[in-house]
Amino acid sequence: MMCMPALHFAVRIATGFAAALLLFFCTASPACAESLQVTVVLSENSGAYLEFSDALRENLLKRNITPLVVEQPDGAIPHSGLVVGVGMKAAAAIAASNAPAVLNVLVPKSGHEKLLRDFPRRANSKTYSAIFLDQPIERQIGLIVAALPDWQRVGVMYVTPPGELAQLGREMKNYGLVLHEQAISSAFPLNAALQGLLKESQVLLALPDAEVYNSSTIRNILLTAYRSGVPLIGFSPGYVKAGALCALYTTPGQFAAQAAGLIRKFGYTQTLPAARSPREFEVSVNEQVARSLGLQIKNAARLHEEIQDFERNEP
Amino acid sequence: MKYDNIKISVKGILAVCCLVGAGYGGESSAAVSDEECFFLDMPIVLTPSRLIQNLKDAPAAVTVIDREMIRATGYRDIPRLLRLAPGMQVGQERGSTHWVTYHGMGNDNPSWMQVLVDGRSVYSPGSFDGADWNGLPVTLDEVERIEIVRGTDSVAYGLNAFLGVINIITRSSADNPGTKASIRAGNAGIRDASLEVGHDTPTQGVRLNAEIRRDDGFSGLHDARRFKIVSLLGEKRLGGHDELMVRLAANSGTRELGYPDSTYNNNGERSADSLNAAFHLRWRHTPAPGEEWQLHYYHNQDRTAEEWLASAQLGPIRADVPLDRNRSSMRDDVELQHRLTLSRNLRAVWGLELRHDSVNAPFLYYGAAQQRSGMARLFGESEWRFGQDWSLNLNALAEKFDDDSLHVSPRIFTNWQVTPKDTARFGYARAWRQPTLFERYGDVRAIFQGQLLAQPYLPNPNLGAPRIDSLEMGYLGRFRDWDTKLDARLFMERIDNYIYRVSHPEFVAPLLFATIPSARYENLASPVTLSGLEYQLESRPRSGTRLLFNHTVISRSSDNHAITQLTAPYAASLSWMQDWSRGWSSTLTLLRMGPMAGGTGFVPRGQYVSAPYTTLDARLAYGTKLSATPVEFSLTATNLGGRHQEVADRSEQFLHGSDPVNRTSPMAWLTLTFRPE
Repeated sequence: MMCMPALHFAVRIATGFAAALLLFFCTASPACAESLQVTVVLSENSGAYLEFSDALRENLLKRNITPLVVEQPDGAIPHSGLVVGVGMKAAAAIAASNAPAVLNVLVPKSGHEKLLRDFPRRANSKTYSAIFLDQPIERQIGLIVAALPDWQRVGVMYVTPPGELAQLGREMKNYGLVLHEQAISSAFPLNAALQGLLKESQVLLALPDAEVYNSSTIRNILLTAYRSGVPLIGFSPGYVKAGALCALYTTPGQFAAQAAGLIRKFGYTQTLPAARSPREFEVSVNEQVARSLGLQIKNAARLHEEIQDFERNEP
Repeated sequence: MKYDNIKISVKGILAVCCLVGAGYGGESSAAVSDEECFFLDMPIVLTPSRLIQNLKDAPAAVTVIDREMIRATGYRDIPRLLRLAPGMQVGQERGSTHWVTYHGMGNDNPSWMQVLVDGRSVYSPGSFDGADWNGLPVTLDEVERIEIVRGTDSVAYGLNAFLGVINIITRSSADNPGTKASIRAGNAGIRDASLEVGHDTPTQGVRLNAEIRRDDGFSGLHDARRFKIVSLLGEKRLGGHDELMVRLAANSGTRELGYPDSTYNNNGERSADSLNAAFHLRWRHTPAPGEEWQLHYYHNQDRTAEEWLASAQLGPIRADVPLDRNRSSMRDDVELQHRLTLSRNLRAVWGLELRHDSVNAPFLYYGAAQQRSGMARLFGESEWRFGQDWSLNLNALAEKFDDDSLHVSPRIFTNWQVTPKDTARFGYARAWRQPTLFERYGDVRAIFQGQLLAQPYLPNPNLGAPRIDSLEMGYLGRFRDWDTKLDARLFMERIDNYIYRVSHPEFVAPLLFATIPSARYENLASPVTLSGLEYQLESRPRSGTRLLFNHTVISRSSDNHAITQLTAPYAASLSWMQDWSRGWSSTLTLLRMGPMAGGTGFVPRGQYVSAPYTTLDARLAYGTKLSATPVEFSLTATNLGGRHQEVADRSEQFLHGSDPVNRTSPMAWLTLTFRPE
């Protein structure tokens, strides 16, 4: 019997080879790309949506694909070709439309799952996919292990329990980490939850739960955690700027590069792979906060490297 | 002279609370989708000035008293907390009079270390240039932490920081906003209440704190106090990079002072009514996480009404002489500060400050009731990390007072991180201390029918600035055993031109010179040297247990023996904070203080030294919920180790020989807190 790592390796090699072949054929036969009609529908014509759209356009133009950009989700959504939904508003409008092939980006996993529930015809479709905003669990654990190798107690807060919470706890256990979770409710508001959690945790891992982490609460959370000597790990560069110790996230440009790859493959296969986490990511570190808390943390490049190694070696 | 029209009324406080609650209650927090929270443009919350310099990098020994500690002790006053820092020598002449020093070395109103609230100096020319600890316009609920810089830090905080700094930092309005309240009642007439109402949105925040503090003080002394404090904080955030803070605070109250049998009733029993108010405006601009501009303006104003009648029998005539210490003062200060990160390894801060003080006290400055003083300073600090484990701090300050010559204070420190868990620190600093207005120009005369009866304070305009040269070696270590931290400071401090009070019989002697001696402040011709070791050991041997041990030993040397006695040769404290789970927690603090001649007043010959004492403070608390509202019940007691004397009123003590006049007395109180943290 072939042992698991070897099998894993073989599958990776085969996948890589197949991808290379696809890429070769698509590049060699411009006809399949040229005939592809791509429409990008933005939730808003600003910020990250626009940044993504510009980067995708640049990526696709290199492949001789000229996307049509619809700047508002209530604009006309074509009934043919591939429609790229950028953000939840656009994704929701497209899901309700007759667009035959859909790739959503800059959408949270929870949002994507809700759309599948609301539009069951989109589920199990080989032409309906997404790249989530959320980072894979093992990558987040990789960041904690790389940034704070001696620390064990990780606290998380949420209003709506994320689907992967149990999995997060199990995976953390594999690396000697202990997950302390705290639900927030009207009976147990943020302040009380935070005070309790900070007593048990050495580090707070922010989850993308807008009811917990938003511009109304971030000051309170960061100030209270900092006062307790507990660093926060965020999920966007904004957190690091605000005062989180570090954050792991994917930039709109990285989303665009990954989306462009999937679009090229779609031009050849007319199918989309299953919805997935982003492939590329960045790490930011707030060295001032690290130094103030007396933490010797590796620089962002080194952390990135270690997280990649961690993901590669993930059993 | 009374200030009834400016006293703070309880009804007024409640009305403002209601207004604050009503004005901000209706605003809802911004609704954000899960997706948007990935892209939110966050404000810079932990700005460079909010970030505490890690002790490993700090060019000085720093002790932080955090909220956990403030809550765990249950103390009602900030000075009592300060006893829990190594090197601090704090005493109470009575319940309402605190004598706060680092390494002793204080005159009647110790002002050898700087006291700041959010960067605003609370020293007042109206409090004889000392800090009026009872009159501080800040409530305990507001305090986020107290940083105590042990050792001279004039280079960063100006000449008042001659021996160290007490930096009281208050919470942002975004920090745990909401409504909190507490009430206290205990023996010795303790009846306190406090209220906090706060509301915060992404763009603005407001908080109102109000506190009433009442007690009858130490038993057997004329020592009741009634104080009201109100503090209103507003924060306005303009985009993600600018923040405006305004704080309006006032403390008004009455305290009892004096003794029934003082000589000629010159320190007779009386009441002092005081009002301390502050307006503080701060603009903070943070263009990038590593860079910050701050512009401060503050205005302090205080008034005290303190009058009584002294009487002396001059042969057949009874001379009734009205005495007073009525005084009012104002301070205006503007400061610009710029913190910047020049490279990954080089950080700097520079700034400039202008200040103007004025005091009006006809009886304290005979013939020149109005006194004024101006100050300008420029400072710069740099922290350079060279190599993996070394950092170098180079700082300098230039400060100019009135017509005095320019004083330059340099400091050089290097920190060596020997291992990730051990850091050593070596440094030298030179600093100056500006003589206070009262030390130079104080001129107090008791006159009856044109006849000078007494002149206890003579002016000395030529008084020079004392200078300190401080050498220190520090060690910071972390140990796995019992999760222990050690912070040690080995120091040698040499003070030249020390200021002390000297009797002058050669001057034209007032009639009652024999009993009310005339004296003035002078510079000591020879140096005073303090050397020793102080350390703090903090352990968390198991979950819920925190132990804190402070110990200081000081060797004092001077040609003038009496001056060496102003510093206790040793002091120690042990605190045990325990969380017993299920809502129960307790704190025990045992404090031992060596013999010390601290206090107020002047006796020309001889020195009274208060005997060493040991005292115990305790607190037991239980937290639970009352119909979903978290509440905490606690019982706190101080001075359980028997009645002892801490610092004396020297003239009064002189009348009673070695029998301590002003002993502390045990105080115990129950506190009920709604929504404790």
